[in-house]
Amino acid sequence: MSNPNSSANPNSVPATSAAASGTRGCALVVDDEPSNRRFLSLMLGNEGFHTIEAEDGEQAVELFAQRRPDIVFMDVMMSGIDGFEATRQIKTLAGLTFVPVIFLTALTEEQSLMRCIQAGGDDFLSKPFSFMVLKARILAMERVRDLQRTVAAKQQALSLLLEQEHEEQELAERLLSRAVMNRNVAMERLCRMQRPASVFNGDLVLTQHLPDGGLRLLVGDFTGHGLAAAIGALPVADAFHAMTRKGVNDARVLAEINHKLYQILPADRFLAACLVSLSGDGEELRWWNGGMPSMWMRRADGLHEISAHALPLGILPELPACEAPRRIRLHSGDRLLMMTDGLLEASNAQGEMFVNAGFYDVLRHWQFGEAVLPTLVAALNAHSADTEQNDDIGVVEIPLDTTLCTVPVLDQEFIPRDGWH
Amino acid sequence: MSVMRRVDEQKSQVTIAIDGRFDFAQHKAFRDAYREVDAKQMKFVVDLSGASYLDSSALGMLLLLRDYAGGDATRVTITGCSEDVRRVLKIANFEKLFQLD
Repeated sequence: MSNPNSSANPNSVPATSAAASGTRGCALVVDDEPSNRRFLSLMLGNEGFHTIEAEDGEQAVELFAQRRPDIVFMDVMMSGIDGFEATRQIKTLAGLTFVPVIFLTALTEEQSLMRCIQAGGDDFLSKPFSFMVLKARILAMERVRDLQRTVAAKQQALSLLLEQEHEEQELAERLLSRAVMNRNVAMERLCRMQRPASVFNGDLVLTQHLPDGGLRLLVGDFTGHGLAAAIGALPVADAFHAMTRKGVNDARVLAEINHKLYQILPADRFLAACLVSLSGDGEELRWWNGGMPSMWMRRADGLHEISAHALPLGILPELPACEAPRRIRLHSGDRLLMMTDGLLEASNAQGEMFVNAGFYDVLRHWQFGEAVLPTLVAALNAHSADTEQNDDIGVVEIPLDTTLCTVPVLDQEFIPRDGWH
Repeated sequence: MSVMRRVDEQKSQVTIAIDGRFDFAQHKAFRDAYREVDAKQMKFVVDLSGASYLDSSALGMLLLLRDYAGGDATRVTITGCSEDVRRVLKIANFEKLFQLD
């Protein structure tokens, strides 16, 4: 490891040569006694260091700022600013980069040695010191420095990745809002609560009118967040809007979405979804629940649970026939509540999930013809106060009446299809 | 939080036991638990008796295992589900894809 060139004339070493191969970098030697500096420089040169020398504290700080050495050997007693102060300034200049400062001092009382460390020094040696001890201390310091550099490099790589991740999230958000959500209709008639855990959550809400004036709604929850979920959402939205406007029936829309997702998504990604269609005359609801929490319908005769009867979309190549959409006759005042699992699993300070602590109370007190969402949100807030939200929470409540519908499409040659037959 | 694997050569069965939260943090360990197993020879049992929670990425991991085992409902059995875990599997209708004990 010795480098005879640098030991011949340590001061003549240009700053860039610190990175030359076979060297241990650049050492700054600070001492007001020329013979001490020469002696140490010679020794460090033989150990493979380039050395630069400063004869007082001011010069040390100046040289440090200019040349950015890899290690500093610091005398304590000097005219002008002393070794303690010079070390403070050097450590400030070094910032987050770890540059070891080893005090070489004639002081021996413990108080003074303590001051070396308090000033920011990393180690100290009392003069006179032996070569072997100094070499050992340098090795130890280099080990710490290298570890710090590895950690710093990882830290930097990590923050770069986080930055990229954040950009992707924003791209996902943009894709979703511009390409997916902005074709939705009647959104102002839905009561909604959306609480994403990250910039873009995997939650999806799509609405479109059917040719008979009715409304079709898809509430979904992709596994995973970010770009992967947004990319899956694009073909889902395309198929949903185009086929709904044409009046294609629920089963075929679902088959198409399932097929597309099965083709493009890897095996561990899928879309849990509820698809509901309200007929244009407001008299019939068709529903399909693939892997979403139960929907709840409040009718004059009580509360009805509409639980998942189907697998989520994108898992099997074909949807089984037994998982076909089903129908319900509607009456005036009926309301439907849909949610993602983030609502049920929201935990309180004791770690209890909302589904086990308060959710069903809200449902039990849901009065016919009234909106339940405000009560639900209040109960959730009370439940999850002082806790951090882990998953996205999405809730949609729909009044099942013709205010959601639009005028049927009449200017077409064919009879408007209702998306069922 | 841990993923443990037990191999029973006589029964031709690999048991993967999950302890604690079964979520994305277990992804690598869960995959490592089955990726060198010969799926033609062995059946899989996922023991969730120690699992406190299951999220949707855990469902995704179960699907990956099912795929690895040949995409057949009889080759992967899930055992020891607590009430909360069973609720999540039931909502997703995973009893159609796995044998639930």
